[in-house]
Amino acid sequence: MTLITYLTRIHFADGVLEDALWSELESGKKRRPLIIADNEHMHGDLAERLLAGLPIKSRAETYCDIPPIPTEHCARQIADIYHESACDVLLAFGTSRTIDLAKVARVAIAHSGSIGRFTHKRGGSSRIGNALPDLFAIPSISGFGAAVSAHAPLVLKNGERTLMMCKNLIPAVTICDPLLTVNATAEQSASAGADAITHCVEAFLSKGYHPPADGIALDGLKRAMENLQPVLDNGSNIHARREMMAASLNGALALQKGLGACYAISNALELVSDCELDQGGLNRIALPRVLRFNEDAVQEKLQALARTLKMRKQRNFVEGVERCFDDLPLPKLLSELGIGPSQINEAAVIASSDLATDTNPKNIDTEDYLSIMRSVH
Amino acid sequence: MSGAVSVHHGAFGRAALYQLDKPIITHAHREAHLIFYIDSHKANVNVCDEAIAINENYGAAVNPWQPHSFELSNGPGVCMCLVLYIKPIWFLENSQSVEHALSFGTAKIEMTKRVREWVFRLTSLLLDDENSELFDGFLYETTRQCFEQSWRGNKQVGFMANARMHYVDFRVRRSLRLMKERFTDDLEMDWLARASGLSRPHFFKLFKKQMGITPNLFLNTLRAEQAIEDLMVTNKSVTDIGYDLGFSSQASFTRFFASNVGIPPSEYRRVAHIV
Repeated sequence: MTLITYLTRIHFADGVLEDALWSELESGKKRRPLIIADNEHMHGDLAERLLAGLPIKSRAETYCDIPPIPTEHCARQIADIYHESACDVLLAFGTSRTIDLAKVARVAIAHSGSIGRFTHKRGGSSRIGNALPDLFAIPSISGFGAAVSAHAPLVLKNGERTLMMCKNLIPAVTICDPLLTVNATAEQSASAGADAITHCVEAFLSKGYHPPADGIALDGLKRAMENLQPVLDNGSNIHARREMMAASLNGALALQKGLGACYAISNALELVSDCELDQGGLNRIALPRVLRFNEDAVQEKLQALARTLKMRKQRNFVEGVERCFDDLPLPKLLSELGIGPSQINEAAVIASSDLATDTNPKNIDTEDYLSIMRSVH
Repeated sequence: MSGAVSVHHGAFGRAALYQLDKPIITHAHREAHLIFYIDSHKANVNVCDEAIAINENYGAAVNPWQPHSFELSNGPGVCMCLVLYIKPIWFLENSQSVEHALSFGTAKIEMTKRVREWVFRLTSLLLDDENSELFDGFLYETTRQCFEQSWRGNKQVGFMANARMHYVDFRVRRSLRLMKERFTDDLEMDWLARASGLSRPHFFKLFKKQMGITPNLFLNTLRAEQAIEDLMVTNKSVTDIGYDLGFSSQASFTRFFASNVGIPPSEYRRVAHIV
């Protein structure tokens, strides 16, 4: 027996942003949104499209100081603005870090004092409660995982890096509009593609019995493998953009089942790095090696993946991913991202205690993580 | 004087049975629009520059933000018509379409047997003037029939036309936002053009080119929308609603409302209800 829960309201259509946002705010009688978005999203055409979706007589506040990982400090600042301006809904617009910050801010808004007591590690999930302000998530080229998931990473005021996890954190509404991605750069598009492929592959291969997630993962993988190159060849190809956004959404929905070692590595490296890392870029480096590591434990599933992509043998699937990733305009080695040997040592320890390690299809320990990361350094 | 037999508001938008004896000036709205002749005097609907005679054989379809007007044909009389204002997002959710465009391929809708049946069913529900669980489904089927008919034999360009809407010049977008924020003020077009970073002539030209309507029509739409909402969900008097929207008297507000919506505001409040 398995418990399957799916998940939140999702609008998905070309050009749907303005109408969906308008309709959701109108039906909820929300007039005082607090927009959380980085500067890139809060200027120019993207911002104008978002603002065009606010109903008449709305008055929006904005918060643009988005850290690489959500911090308690920023969440408190958002909570102060929310209360002082009598806001009634949060709109998180952009990438994962923005949407995750908004999720943490919901807890800060609903509860005064330190938010450390709401972390997963301290058994705080049940204390989060359901009196959180509404959150609408609007991912652009990335951010789909955050937009439909029940967790968020967090740095507490004392510097501790931790995680919040509670189904009440899932945004009430997610709006997916492929037209938001047409101006993304080739690097951003490649990173989003690598991320989508990784989520689909790792979710499908992960332990557990979850037929809907498996089906969604296979469908997402097919869309991504068929449309990533067309998007890189022509960023204005709306059909390919739409399919890639569908793949990203599928990957995000499928990862509810669980992920694997690649996700654990990316997360750990993000935590130990001094500079801002791109998760799609990290996945692009790590996934082929993780697949080689897992290969003997998931032969049947690799054959299923190969069949989905009309390849003949399982080996072809791993090679196919390698070839696909090889062509992407992204770094090929961790050293190119400024990651040093000491950070790899630290990341290996963190990765081995990541929740995704438990669902990796093959047992993996700190030494294995070290070996994988060193091989792509 | 023009009046309404029934007006239903719902998640779908609005549906009305009007008896119109006066023209409705050129206006636009964010909803898609279907207009069907039901009884008595015939009429014309002008959609952009195309005149559609609405009668037993044809109805009219208007896309969101398309300017259009209404007039009786052949002199005085009263036209009873079914008028639907359909929210694109509602149609999208019901049709499970990924191409977000409730955009009709043609403005002229033939009253086929099936379209006529659905129009009569909707009309019957409106005449009963009672809430019915059937209303949404009937309205969706009516819209779907017309939508599919409008694209039959036409190359579907609606989506890309719609997609282009999302590449509207940022200065026009800014003006849209400013109008939305200040439409109840006495907005000077010179000021609006300057605040948008354009000269007045360039502003008007660019706005019309990209939005398909003039800035003045856009402002009128915002005022009409707000007036309808106030009439429906507040207890404010018609006079106060007019004042709050920037009109100097109830008479000028009533004139504005009747010429943009079709019937006077007090009549609208009397018959309209939410299903």
